[in-house]
Amino acid sequence: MATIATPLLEAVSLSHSYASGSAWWKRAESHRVLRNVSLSIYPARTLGIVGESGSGKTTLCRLLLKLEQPTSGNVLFRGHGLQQLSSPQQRGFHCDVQAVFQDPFSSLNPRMTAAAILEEPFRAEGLYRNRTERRSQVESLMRLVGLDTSLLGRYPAQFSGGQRQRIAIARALALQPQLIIADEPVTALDVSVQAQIMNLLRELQEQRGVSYVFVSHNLNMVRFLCHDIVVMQAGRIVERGPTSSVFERPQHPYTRALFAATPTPDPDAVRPAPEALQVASIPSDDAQEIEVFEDHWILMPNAGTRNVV
Amino acid sequence: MSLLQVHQLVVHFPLRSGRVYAVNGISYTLREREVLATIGESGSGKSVHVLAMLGLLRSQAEVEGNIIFDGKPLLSMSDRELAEVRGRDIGYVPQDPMSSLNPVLTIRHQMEDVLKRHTSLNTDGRKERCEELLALVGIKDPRRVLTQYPHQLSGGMRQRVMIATAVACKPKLLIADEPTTALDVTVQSRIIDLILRLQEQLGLAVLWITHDLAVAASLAETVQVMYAGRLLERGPVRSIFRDPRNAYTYGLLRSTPNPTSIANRLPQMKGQLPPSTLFPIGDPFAPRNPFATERCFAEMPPLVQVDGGARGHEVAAWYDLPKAIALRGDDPWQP
Repeated sequence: MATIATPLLEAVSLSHSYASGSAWWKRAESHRVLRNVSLSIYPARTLGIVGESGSGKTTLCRLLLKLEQPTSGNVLFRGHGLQQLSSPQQRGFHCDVQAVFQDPFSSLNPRMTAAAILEEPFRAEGLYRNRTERRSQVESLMRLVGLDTSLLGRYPAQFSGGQRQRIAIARALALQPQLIIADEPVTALDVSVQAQIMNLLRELQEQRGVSYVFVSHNLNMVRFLCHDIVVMQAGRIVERGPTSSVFERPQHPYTRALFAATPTPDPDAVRPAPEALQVASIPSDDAQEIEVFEDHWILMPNAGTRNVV
Repeated sequence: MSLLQVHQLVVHFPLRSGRVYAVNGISYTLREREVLATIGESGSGKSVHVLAMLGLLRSQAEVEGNIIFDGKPLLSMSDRELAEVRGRDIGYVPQDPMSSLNPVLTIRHQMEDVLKRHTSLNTDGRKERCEELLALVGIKDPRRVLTQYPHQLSGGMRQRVMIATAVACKPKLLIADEPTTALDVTVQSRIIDLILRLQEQLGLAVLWITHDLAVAASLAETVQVMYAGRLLERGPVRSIFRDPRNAYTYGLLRSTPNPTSIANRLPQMKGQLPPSTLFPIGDPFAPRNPFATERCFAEMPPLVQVDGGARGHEVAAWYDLPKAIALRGDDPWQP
């Protein structure tokens, strides 16, 4: 994170709660899913977000995409609060920040052809109104993600999972965004296809300088793709820093448990001791961040540990 | 002694037009107390072959071949005979515990179903046995959990309940179909430990179905690799991971990101699985295989002992992988 560049997108003390269980005889209970989360995303960098289910990864993505409004805190796009954007700035935001979701089976409209799916961003923005021009843009998007243009007339159901995810990525790239927020983009894919998509993401970054927020629970994938990572537990960032530093010397007990639990494709690797999997207790609200190495921060853990299962 | 012998198992699903060739003749054996991992991607037939084995596809699929479990032929059993074996001699742990537990029945109700079917225990005896079983799978407060409903338990707890139910009648074989895929990594690690402990304690043989090479590496004695309804390679876990002889196994191993070697690009196998509605002539991996010979496209190679390999390391390949790699010189999968 040692860049002088201004961040593209910034989260400033984001907190978010969901209400549930409301009925006429009782008030809704509020569940705090994000607590005081701050992070910065820089141009042409990849930020990895890891954590287990319920740690708030997906909620964080939704807030960064402005799909929801945070209960408190702010998301800044090029220094401007998302809620206060003027309408041209708003437009810019929607062009510059795009999303790729986990499940390529539900993120593409089954009744639209690949061509229609890829044209939609242009229609929404009123770009390439000329039909032949639009068609050539769509074709170049297909080629960019390694798909044959002869497949443009097909419907999502006629594609394999890997091909669908390529189309979802192509759609995200249509408006030449600065940032793509990818929430578990390879989780639903087969092992032999995952590598193809990971390489594609990397290539696109090298060619176009696009930034990524890459959410995953697969630590090996995160290590491969990301420059910086944040580790989330129960709605808080418990550790963050340059990927190499965090992977080589994880400091927070939760990060260590996650790393210990991740199996490696090596039959001689030793199974982790049960103690290594003790998950740190949920960080308290007043826990403080300290810098343990250069740009590598952890939330001071509290005493005592807790078993999750 | 072999507990399970699968011989030339074929599972095809007839469709209105054409058919789905899910499993195209696989043969293997599983010894008593052996932990065997079957690795495959979606569409490889790894789960379907298990469902067919358990007689769960009788109404939909054409199943051929022969399966001998504990001396008895499974495929020719009547539904009634098979029901005696399922749940008693063979335990099954599914991928997603939430969709296999009934949401409106208590845990006790669901666990007792198995005991009612296969034991002569009375109500008190069954309750006691349920508590014992939950304690066995590491649940700290069995009494309370028995009165709870599935939604009140975490994913890991639900999977523990499923495992407790699967081992309730002291089976000889436990089939685990991706039991940890839906779970978080720390929970996954504990469930793997639990199943390995039970395997030792109860003397179970385990057939573990997974798509995750790392999971297979961390638990199996023997690994077999399936692709498009065929077995391409099989052998002791170390031989498979250290000395793969089938190009598909080799490619899978290479394309999995490894924490010890961080490269700029992941080696990637081109293409994708063939559609299961086409019967694969020859080696199904041949179209994606840069080492394929002409014969690979015409004829499916048999699974045979690897020349100079570890005992029990078998491969289906018309090419000699180490030689083919040396001969090529460059790396066909490096993008």
